Amino acid sequence: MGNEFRMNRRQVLAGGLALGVSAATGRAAFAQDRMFLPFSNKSLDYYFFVIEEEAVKRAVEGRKWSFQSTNANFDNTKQLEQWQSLMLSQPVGLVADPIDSQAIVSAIRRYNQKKIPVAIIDTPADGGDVAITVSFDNHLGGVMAAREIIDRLTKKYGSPRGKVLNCYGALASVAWRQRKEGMDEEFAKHPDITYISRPTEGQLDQMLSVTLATLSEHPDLDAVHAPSDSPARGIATALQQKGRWKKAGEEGHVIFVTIDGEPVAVKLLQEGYMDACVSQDPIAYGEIAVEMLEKHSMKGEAVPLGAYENKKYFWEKGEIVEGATGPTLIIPPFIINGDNASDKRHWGYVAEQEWGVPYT
Amino acid sequence: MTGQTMKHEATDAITDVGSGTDFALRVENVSKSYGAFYALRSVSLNIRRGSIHGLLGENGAGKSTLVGIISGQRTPSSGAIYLDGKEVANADVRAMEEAGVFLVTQEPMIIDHISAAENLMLGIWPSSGGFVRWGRLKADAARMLKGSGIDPDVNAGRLNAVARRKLNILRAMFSGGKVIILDEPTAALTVPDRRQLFDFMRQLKNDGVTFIFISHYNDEILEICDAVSVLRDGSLAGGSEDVASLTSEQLSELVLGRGLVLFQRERRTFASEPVAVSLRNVVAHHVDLDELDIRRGEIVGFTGLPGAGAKELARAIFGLNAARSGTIGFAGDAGQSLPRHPQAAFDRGIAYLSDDRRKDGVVGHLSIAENIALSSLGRRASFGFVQRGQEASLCDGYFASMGIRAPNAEAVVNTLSGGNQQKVCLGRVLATEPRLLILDEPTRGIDVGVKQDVLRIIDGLSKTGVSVIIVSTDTDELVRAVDRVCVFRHGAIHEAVTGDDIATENLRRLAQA
Amino acid sequence: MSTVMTTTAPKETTGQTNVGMHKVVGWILHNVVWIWLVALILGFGMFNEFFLTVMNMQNIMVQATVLGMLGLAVALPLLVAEIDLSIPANLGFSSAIGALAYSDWGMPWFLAMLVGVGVATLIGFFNGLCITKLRMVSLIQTLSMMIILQGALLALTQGKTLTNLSDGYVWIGQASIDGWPVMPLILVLALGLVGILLKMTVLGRSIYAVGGNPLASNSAGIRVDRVKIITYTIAGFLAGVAGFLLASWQMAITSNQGSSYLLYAIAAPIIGGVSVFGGRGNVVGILGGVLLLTVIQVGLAITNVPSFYVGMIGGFMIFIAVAIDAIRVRYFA
Repeated sequence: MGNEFRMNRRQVLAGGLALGVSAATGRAAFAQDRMFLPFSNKSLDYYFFVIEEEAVKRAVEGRKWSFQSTNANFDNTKQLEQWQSLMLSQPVGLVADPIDSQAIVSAIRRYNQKKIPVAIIDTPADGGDVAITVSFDNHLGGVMAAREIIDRLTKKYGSPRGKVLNCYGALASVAWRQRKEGMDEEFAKHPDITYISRPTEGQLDQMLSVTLATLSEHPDLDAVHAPSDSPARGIATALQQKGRWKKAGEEGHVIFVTIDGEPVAVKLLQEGYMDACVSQDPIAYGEIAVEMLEKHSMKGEAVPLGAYENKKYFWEKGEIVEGATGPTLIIPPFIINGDNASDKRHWGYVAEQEWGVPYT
Repeated sequence: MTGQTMKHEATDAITDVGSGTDFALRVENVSKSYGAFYALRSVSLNIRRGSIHGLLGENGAGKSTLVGIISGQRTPSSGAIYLDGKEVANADVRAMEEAGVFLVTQEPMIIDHISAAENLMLGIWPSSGGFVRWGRLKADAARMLKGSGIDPDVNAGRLNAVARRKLNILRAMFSGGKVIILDEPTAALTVPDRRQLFDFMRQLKNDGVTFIFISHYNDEILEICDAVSVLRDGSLAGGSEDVASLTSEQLSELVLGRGLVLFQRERRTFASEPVAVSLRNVVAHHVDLDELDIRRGEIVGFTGLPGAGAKELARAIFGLNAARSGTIGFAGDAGQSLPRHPQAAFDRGIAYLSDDRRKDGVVGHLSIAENIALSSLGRRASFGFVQRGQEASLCDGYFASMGIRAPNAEAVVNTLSGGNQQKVCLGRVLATEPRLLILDEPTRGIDVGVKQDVLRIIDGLSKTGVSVIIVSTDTDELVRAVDRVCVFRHGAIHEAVTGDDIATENLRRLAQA
Repeated sequence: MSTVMTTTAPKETTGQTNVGMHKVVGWILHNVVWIWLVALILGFGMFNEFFLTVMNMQNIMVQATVLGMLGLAVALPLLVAEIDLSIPANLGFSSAIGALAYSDWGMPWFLAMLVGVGVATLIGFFNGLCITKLRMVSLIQTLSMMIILQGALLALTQGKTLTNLSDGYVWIGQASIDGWPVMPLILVLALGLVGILLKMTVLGRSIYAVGGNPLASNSAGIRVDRVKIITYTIAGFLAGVAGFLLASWQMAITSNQGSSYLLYAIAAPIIGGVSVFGGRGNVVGILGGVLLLTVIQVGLAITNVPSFYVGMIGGFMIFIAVAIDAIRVRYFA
């Protein structure tokens, strides 16, 4: 009986393989007229990445090309495997937000071998040949957020002093790590400020508990920072629970500065609860990546260096420079505050109000 | 007769007897097959309401399968079951229990650390709104337990064997049991306990409960049953509605299909034989033995009350119980300290067969062949690889010589009956070619036919020069199988009995004293 | 009246066709992993024209390699009725040690790789010692080991990604002959060796016996503790090799390398018929489980399913596999 099973099992396997092989030869000359441009996303757990994907999708489908996305759920190995699988569909290019700058290099090299142009957004790669990188200077973002806090402390006390809490995110994430490093550096220049840096893994619940704990320990806390908007709602909850949820200028207000510029931040800025937000622009990332691939890379030419200007975006002007992996457009971080929060070019506004992607 | 026509000759014969009576349960032409192997073939039974119906048969005859089908644990391949004249189809255990059929197995399903009352109500707690009503529970339990001699508040772990069995029967009844199947309820019970259990059953029978009573023992069947059915090789071999008119011999003949010849070893003296095994100064848990010599080809019986040292010494010799000191020598050599692990014991020619097959005798999901090879794998391997050809012939050899009843040596041991599993175990230890074979209760829980087979195998082995120790509390077995009986007390041999002094009454007196 | 009757065995008339049906259904359920696998391959082939290509078969084989090694490693402790949750963490940690041995201690890459695999093997051995000699509960002991190793990897890498790997080290992950990647050969080799180990050696027999009934195995003269320790040690070794392969393939070691494999590495052998209660399972089944999971992953990556639903659909496919297996065990075990 056992032998019989083994025999049959082998036959089943052989049958399956034979089918695969025959199908393979039959389809070798499959349609080349189709323009297929996929997007390899790192996660869908954050609004930011969802909008990034939406931007790429709209850009691709607006050109009547076919689109597909993969979600690696912050698993680096999974992302590499998905790149490998996407390659089989003979795409005209690939747009990706890598999870790990270094680990993605081997995959980029494989795309280089196949001469498929790669556009990288948000998290730059460390090597390989990348057609266009559109990203954010996370380090600078951290520095700028720190400066926003320092300015407000100076205004409050006349000199830079007070107590600041940084609810930093997971250090395994390059972006969060660089933001923390930028902020650490800037606060190191101001020894009179008590800088409290605490890990939260970028999780809402941990930001809540860390902020609560810190407020109990230091009721005189002046400012709090989160390196991302979505989990920063935990901080808002903590402030509410401790009776410190006050608008800027009111008695007992805690200075609240974040990074990303999601709809929640734009709203809180308009209302006055939040002081400033260092914004990125995921919509620009996706759109510019697809635009550059279409205009240059897919025609076989390199993306030209020089100024990039587009009034569609709030930041209007950027510079394409030669980076480690090729042409790189670093979109300058910009500050959203009470004065400019109602500008309709903020990505948070476009995503929620124009595209109708609800922010929860 | 309830209206259905019976086509089968055997069932016709039986139902004739019961014509016009009231049947609690009828089994009609039930078969169960596993592939090409038939565990049951067209078996039909009629069980009268308020009777004790004996079910007899050798291990592997199909008793467990039949009971499994009646209790809903297994589904028959064909055939039907009627309860109170109504057919029950595709019933599982729950459905059968709701219909009033309960199986009480050899392993009493009792939770030790809760009270007898709570055990009785397990799963059927009187409750309101999800809360157990303890007052009601205690009152109900006390009412049920009245007359059984069980204190409802006592921790179930402290109940003795007979009380545990009674508790299980009561539990089945309290859950609405009308037909209660007792699978070897007397195993490991003392004579007075057994009598107590039987009285209890008779009392319940008079209250209208129907019992199916499974046993290996003719005398029990004759004592308690009103009717009997005998299974042999998966078929109904016969039965009677009038047990009182039967003799034990007639029953045995039905069970075996031939006249039963009880085995009796020819005892002789071994004084002239060379000493094969010498034990010295063995100290272990419950053991304090100065010396013991066993001669070549001799079979020595160890007996005594639990904790007296017979079983403990056997396990210490094999390395299962750690010995604080002690040596074992073979054929007059200087002797080495006792082995510290069974593997070392096997290497030195000592083999041991546990009294609890399921616990530490067989690996249930492996095949017969794999089990037989298990203890001698290492010595027959080359460079760590199993020698398949050699192994196959070895296993086939023992499969045949042990008379294991199974489709082939690839059958999974779990599917075998207890007696056949015991033969597999015996094959496994014999395959190590021991010089000293220790058998702990080698015939416990196996039927009378297989028992003779096992005793014959051991007898034959001793004639090849192997020394054997049989640890047993079954005096009848000792009388029939051994040359010398060592009665243990306080960890040492209290008395050694040889020759015609090895007699049932004498041994009982010595062991109990 | 005395009514002892003897009867002859009734003749067999019914049941023959039933037996045949039972056999067929049994066969189907026994091979359910493979049948479901073929069905999925064909299904994905219908949705995506690139799925049924030689290139994709190569792709699937590459992606199955690391999972396959881990599946084997997880299966061995399962076979002796224990479990090792630390295997994926061991993969990450040991490969980082191997990489550091090359980049920081200046060892030749091959030696450095052996150091990594050696560390993995030692960790496996240590797990085995804890579980047998100290009688620690394997679920918790290996869980704590997993947390330790994950933490140690983060500490070793300081959150950064290690990419300083020699060309020799990364060769196996990149090399191909005629388009056929070399890496899956290691999996084939490992499957073969473990298969031989389980089927033909005394150790393999002992593993099945110990998993089935440790007490009986002990009485039968098997050194149960020793068998378990060896099993854990081999599992550690396989994890080390898997770590080398993964690092070589992605040419990088991240600070959470391997941790995402945990659930799949446990699921693969169980889907392939390895019992969590020990004593049952074989390499063919494990391979089936590994391929099934890989095909689902690859298929969903290249089929145009909206990404929000991919996780759910993948989960359902695994659920079906497990459900069918449960039915098999229920009716045919």
